[in-house]
Amino acid sequence: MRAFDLVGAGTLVRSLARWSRGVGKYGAIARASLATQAVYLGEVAARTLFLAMILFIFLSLWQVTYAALGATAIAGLSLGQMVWYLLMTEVIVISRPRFTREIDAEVRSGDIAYQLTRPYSYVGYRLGHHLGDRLLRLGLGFATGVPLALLYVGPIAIDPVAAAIALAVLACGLLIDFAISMAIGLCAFWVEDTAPFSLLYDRLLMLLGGLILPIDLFPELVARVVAYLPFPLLLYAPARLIVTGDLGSIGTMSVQLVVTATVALWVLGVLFAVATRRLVANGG
Amino acid sequence: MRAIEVENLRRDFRLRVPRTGGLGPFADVVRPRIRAVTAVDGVSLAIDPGELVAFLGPNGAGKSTTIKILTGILHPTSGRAEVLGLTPWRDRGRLAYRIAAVFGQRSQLWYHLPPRDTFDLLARIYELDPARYRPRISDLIARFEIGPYLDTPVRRLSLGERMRCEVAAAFLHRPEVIFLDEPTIGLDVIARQRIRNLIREVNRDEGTTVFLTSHDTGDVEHVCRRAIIVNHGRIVVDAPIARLKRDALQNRVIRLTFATPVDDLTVLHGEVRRPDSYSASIELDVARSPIDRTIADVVTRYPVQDIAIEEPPLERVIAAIYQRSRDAA
Repeated sequence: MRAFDLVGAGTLVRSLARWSRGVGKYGAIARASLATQAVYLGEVAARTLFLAMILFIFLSLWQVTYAALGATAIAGLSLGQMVWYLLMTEVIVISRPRFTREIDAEVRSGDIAYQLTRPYSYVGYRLGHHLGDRLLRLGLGFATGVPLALLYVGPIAIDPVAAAIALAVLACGLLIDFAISMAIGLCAFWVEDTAPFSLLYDRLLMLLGGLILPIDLFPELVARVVAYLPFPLLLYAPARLIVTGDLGSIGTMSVQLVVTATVALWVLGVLFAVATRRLVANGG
Repeated sequence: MRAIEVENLRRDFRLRVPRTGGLGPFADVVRPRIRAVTAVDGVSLAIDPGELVAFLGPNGAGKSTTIKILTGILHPTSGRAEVLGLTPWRDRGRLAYRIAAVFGQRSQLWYHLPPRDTFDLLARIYELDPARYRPRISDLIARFEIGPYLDTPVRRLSLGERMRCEVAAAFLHRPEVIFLDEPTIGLDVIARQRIRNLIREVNRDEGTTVFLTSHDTGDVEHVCRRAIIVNHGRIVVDAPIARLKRDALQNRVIRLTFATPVDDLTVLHGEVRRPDSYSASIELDVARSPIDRTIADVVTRYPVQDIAIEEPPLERVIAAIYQRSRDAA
């Protein structure tokens, strides 16, 4: 019995070590991607400038709107909360790399085939690469955006629990965005150009995700339909959660997040499997 | 167990042939015209561990398709292939840890990072034990002499430096088989020679099987001992390079150096080239013109100081084989 326990424990330790090595490689890819992004400091500076401009324009617009309506809160948000909300959604959108185009190019050039000769999952490799890239962009975005928001409207009260949950929601949203963007890029196996799909997705995300306008301000019917789409989960949900600290709809949101992420990843998995079959069957 | 074993491998592709004319694209959608192309047509070969093999052929001969099948990124239409006892397209994941591939025009180094970072990353990707990785990377750095620019971003390296890092990266996980596709493309003479020497050195020390594809006959001549030549998807020659050079062309070059200037050189047979008045080279087909008679004639009539008989350059041998197989097809 004792010998059996030892053998079992040894197997478990070996399995865990293998698993951690397997997962570790994607973490290493994310770190390398993050280090690579550090060279694009000029681009980061340009993005910061853009963010400052956008925030200033929206601040002015919302100041006029709040004054015209004589309201202290619109859609449950004060002017300060509204600017912080816009900061969050803008940073999330600006941090999106041109990921679909990268995948499209990789499919078109045939590089994707050569990636298959490496001992990793291509989707995992791309996820690590994407997250490394995106986390740096997000970090820099918030690092430059937060002082701007403080300068424009000052601090707002943030509930630490809600903020932590908002971060988890944001992480889940990044995963969904990754899955959808990669799936669009993989369509290059079947269509001449994925740019129109990518453009459509980007615009839908901006319009229906609540980038400029929280979805509470949409017409009721539109807001009800949009609430079932994945877009608000990527922008509106984490931004609203962090600025209001309102955990009232967290249950529904969690279910929606899990279902959307599962479906998005499943679709990506199926699409990649079909694409790989096509690749190995037809040579791309 | 063989390093690579292929039996009757065949790969067909179905290509769409677009129609011309205004309505052509619409007709293509309704009823596309399909043309079948056979890229690999019954290839069989066996390569033992540690062999240095050149896999040659003109463009479109089926080399890349064969390499793609052997590395697991393409299914064959029919036939059998095993690399290190594994079926590449079925066991791609497991095989990936045991083979390596260098494609001269595709980099595996991260462009904005120093080579050291890519090496560290590859160590994680290939799940190398740190205790084994450290001496391994030190050995490769010393062997490939890449220490001075190990911390320079890849984008700032010359092509020669980058290629040395590419090849070193490929050897990092001690692959048992390495596929090299044009590893010296675009390199200058010295860098090319260096890469060739390094590949041979690692083959000698570690017994790595080398499967090389290159249009540069220098690579083939300096690295490989055996050549497999394909054309139209079929193997047309599979022979040791020395024998190939000896037998494939019956041409020989006689190089002469004269003690005093010779301005007017005439020979019984062969094509004469005169770089200057002190030297000459005579190329002759020994099947039709006996070499001994030509030499005897020249030695008798001219003040020959030195004489050397050379086989034709491999480039011409291969070109002749391509031409013959084209004519036969």
